[in-house]
Amino acid sequence: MGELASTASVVFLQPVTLCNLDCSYCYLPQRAVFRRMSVDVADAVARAVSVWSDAHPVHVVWHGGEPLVLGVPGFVELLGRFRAGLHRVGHAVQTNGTLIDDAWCEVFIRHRVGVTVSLDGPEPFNRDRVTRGGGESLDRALRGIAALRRHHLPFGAIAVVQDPDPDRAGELYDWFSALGCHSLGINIVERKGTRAQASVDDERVTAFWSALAVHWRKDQRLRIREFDHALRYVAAELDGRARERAMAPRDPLPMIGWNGDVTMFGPDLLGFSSPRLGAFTVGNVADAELTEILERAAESGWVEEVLDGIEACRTACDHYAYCFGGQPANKYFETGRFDVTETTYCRNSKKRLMKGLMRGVREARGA
Amino acid sequence: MSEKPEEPETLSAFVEAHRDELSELVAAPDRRASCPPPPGVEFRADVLLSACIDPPNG
Repeated sequence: MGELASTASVVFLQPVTLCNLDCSYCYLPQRAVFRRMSVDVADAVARAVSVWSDAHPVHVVWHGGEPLVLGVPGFVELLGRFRAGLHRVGHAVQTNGTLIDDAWCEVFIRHRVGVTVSLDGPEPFNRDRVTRGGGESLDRALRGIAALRRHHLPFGAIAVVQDPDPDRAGELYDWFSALGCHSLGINIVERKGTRAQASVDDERVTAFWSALAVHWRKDQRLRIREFDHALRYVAAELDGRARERAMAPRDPLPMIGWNGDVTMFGPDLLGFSSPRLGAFTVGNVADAELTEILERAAESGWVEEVLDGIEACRTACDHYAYCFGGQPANKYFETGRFDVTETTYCRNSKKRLMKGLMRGVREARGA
Repeated sequence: MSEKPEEPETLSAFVEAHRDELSELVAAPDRRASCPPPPGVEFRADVLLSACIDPPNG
């Protein structure tokens, strides 16, 4: 069974459940209702974060719903509960950008909050990101980004790509590059949560990554999150550190919901349960300290199955030192189990990505 | 007449077979993570959010 680290380098928080958009591919189960995190819940998380930051930096990612729905006073109240230990506690928001204005920008500057905007590109790439009335949201998001730029705030972007068309990869790259973001994350559409839509699963995905890599190598103004990640593995392999990297404990990546429920392995499993395994939680911060909850997490049946799945990947897959056993949420939502190995997500966002990146780099060199 | 060499079967063998060009590719310092992980823990958040690759002002 895989091993979990005893502290977390990143903690995800859901300050509010509501989102003002209704994207067609969104998997969040409570995004249509308004439930907000209390100061007591924030305090409980802040106590653990403060202790962990004595050992290493910790990043708090405010995820939502749409976190900015909370409004400036409510957000600042929660954020203000956090205190750093010996190392920095950094904050970041994952936002759809539509509510960003000058007041929010002043908050981001004052509290050094990093910003990543979810946005799929120009129309028609962005057509699935609609308001609750069904209207397009791109203009609103661009107004928010214009505010970020007026205030000279760096920001990243994350795009969901529904159709990985190799012929349009360059267009997508150029658009985000012109937008002014410093990095772009690309999520090939996945089967996740309440959205059971089919995902593309063929060699067009390799060709898409390859075409994107060609543009990236020639231009280099924009960092691509997935390429950064692949190249960190390559660097470790070249330096002889890949095996050590593969044996490292798994970061628990806790996600704390608005009501104090704690899930793990990122935000994707919050609010979900299985008839076989029960709710995908490991406790609630109202009942125990977050540190204790994470220390006991491996006793939960579903976490045990996740760790078995990671160990199965470690044993079976030569990409393990690159991907660390995949995303548990993708395993579950694709197969109904956590103790499986290869998924469509694996193929599209790891194996085909690496293959496409290598192909694109060679093409860009004219090899 | 020589046969076209086959690509290595494993990822690690592929990296080794293309050591020179990949070394050049990873040499640029701005492509490395600037988020230090906890001691002994491989940093994982980079697979989730670009916000965590580039900590603000970090």
